[in-house]
Amino acid sequence: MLLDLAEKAIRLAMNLGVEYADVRAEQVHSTSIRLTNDRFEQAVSGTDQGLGVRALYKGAWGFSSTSSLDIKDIQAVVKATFKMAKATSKGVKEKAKIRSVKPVKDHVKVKTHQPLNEIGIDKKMKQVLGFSKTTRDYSPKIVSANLMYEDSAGQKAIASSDGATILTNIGRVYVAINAVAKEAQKLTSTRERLGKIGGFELFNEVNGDEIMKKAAKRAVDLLKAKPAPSGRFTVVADPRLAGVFAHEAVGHACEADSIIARESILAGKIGKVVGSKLVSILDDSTVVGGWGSLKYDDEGVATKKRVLIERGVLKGYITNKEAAAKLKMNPNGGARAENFSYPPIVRMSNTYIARGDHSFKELLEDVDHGVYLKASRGGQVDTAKGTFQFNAEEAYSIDKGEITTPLLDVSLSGITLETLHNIDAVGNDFELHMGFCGKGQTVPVGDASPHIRIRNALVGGRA
Amino acid sequence: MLSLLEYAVKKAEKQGASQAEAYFNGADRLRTSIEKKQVKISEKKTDAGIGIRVAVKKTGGYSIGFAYLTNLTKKAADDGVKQALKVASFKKPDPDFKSFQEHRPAKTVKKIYDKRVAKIEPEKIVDLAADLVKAAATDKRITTIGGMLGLGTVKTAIVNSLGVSGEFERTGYGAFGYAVAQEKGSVGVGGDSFTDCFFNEEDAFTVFKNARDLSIRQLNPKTVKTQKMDLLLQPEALAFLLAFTLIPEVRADNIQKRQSPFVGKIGQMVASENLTVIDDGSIPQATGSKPFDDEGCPTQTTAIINKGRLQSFLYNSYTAKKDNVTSTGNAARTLGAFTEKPKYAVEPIIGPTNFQLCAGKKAAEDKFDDVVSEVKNGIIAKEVIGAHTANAASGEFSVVLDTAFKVEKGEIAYPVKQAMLGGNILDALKNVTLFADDLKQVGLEQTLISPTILIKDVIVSG
Repeated sequence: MLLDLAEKAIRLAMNLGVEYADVRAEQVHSTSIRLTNDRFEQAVSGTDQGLGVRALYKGAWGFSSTSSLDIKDIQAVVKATFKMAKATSKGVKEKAKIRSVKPVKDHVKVKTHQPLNEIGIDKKMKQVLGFSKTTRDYSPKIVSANLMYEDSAGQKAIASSDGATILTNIGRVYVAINAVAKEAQKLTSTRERLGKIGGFELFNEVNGDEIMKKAAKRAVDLLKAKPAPSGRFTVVADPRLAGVFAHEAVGHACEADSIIARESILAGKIGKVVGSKLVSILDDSTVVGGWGSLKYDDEGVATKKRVLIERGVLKGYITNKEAAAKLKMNPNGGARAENFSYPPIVRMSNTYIARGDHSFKELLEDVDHGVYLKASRGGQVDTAKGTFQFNAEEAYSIDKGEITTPLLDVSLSGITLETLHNIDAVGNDFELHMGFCGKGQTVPVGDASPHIRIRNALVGGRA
Repeated sequence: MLSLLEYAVKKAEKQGASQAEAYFNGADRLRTSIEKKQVKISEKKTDAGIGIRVAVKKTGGYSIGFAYLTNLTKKAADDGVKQALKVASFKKPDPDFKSFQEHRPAKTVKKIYDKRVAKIEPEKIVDLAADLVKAAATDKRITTIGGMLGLGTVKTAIVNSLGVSGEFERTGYGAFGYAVAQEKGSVGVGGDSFTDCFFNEEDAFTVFKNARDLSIRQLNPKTVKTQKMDLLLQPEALAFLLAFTLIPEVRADNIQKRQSPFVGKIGQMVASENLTVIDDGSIPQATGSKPFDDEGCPTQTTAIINKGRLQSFLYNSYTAKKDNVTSTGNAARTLGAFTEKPKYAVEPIIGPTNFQLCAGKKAAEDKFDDVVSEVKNGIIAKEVIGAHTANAASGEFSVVLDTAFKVEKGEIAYPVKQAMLGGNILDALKNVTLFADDLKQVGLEQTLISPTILIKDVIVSG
């Protein structure tokens, strides 16, 4: 039924004379639970439904969406899209074009033993309550355990005027824990996540309680941390922080929309050396088990593995149909929308730094005086200036090749291109992590990396 | 809409709820985006839904359940009621829950609805956007102009078992612009924004011209040495920083959960005597104003910090009853700052309306130039990056100062490349000394109203 509605909307749009249109129609049941110290702050389920139409008319884009799946409202939304595109066309100087791909017809299923919409919200609440107890029981110093559970299950139809008709089953579940520890007047806080594309079987496959204990342990250990110094140091970044760097500093700068807008320091640099030979960075939507994995993007294009930087040389960008036409490249499946109520834009999927050949011990060996940074509380980047900043969750001094004093509230900032050149060692380990990326719309992404070492990095502390 | 809400409340009562509440939020939004010096896309979105809350009496208290629907039919409402009751049946009774919001006489808030907004044609906005680009592109160093213009009409309605029944409409208008300037290998970025309940073209032009000027002024920046200096924070920087520090820290729910550095500090001096902080949901034409909050409690003026002394927290009905006070009308259906989820899909917690920073003891603001002239060695920042990484429980934060300029001998001297500010919000509040006269509201819905403020003696690392 969703696919019928989507195809119908495409036909209606084409009848109005648009050059191109794509549609997403969704019906998704989702559950959202927030638990703080065994108290349910939120325990909500509901069905989100709706349809969004994007169309190109005279080289100009229009978009409209509705939370109704009634045929009358869909007709109205197609008309509104046309009206929006027509209005836009009055202000467009450089006309947008799209590069089409071979049409795809497919039904993508989600592998799951326990579909999320068949599990009652009470069972989900019980699972979260159990995680809270595990976290709080770890130590009397844990003063707070904040848990978040989110799932969604349903279907999404994608149709485009250049021939894509794809029905995708949706099944996605994750839990995030924020553990807070306290001693004297000192408070520390850590985060961990677990999740999968699939169903409720996640909780049989992954030992969630161990992950809760890990968060609690790190929060308690952080209580011993001291304020950090500020200045330039050699930094060893763990896979989580290095993964965030790959995503924030490099991935965003490789999004073709920012390349075209010349808001990226990597614009016009294909084939040029942008970093140390040790650095290869990829964005790969096909990673098995990747939180950012998807078979087709929201323009109905089959996704793939994209090499962004290979041994220090910039190789490619993440593109959608419009950027591909403009840059004379191929669409590589980088168009994603948060849901039906947003037009698809260029996004990452799973972004990672490829494995190197240093052991962790070797990474530390040459560091006389440095900082070991672990995990991230998030980060931001200015792709036009090529600057970034992230706050590490954990940090330690490195003295004469050994990890020593734990440090509190340390941030890493820098200039992306300098930093890429200053990476002088890449580890032989590798970890895949889940995250969310905001760019006006929030989408699930994966990031990954080995440990990396950065010389002469700017570290901000409070000491 | 009230009739479907009444239906849902009655249905829930019949199915075993002691009390029920149904909340409707429906929005129509028009938006035109600018990218690369031209209009990129125009969008129109319609979204509406109902959130249903039930309270079920058990031994030891009430259990609360919640569910939402976007298919606005009686049948979907029946299912929503069933789901909400299922959640309530699982939850342990909460001895602190007494009841939903009681009926209180509603008041009206002036100038929150601009009847022109719903009628403005997209062509008019596209034309305006094209003119804004022209106005910002007057300097040949400007390589990129981007931004957006947005208009929205939001209807809110609420009904509960205690006699609350009301609805209102509000409009919002926002303009955001940024520019990138390039000159001899140097890149400067500048941005500005404006929000109001009323549509107005003139302020959009100011936004884009400011973005242009700032991006040019940001060219050829220098680094600063790590040192103690004075800090001038402009309203945009404050809005982002406070959204993740002071604002969550004065929410009564976070206080009751003991996740705030302000726990137990009512009546104490927590800030400089020059600082007064007020939340006021009734300011005419302010974007955070509304006649009643997201539980149907009339909004009010609440003094949070008065001349440095902590006076009150922000309450919804639940936290107010727990502390034996009355709600301050700050129930907000939000998951926190900058997380977007439709309001009908979220249970009410607490949020600001118009969160205002005002001069305290000194009572009056000073001219902007006079405030700058007070600074012998300092930095002025329009934006901060990374405030969402702050630790609201402890008050610690670490941010990058963006669109920043060095201030020397009372004058803005040169643009600053990359500077970091770390510290605790408590220390920062104690060092607030002066307020400029450049009052601005930032945000739509949860709004900060503040001028540029001077914070003495902070450590800025270069």
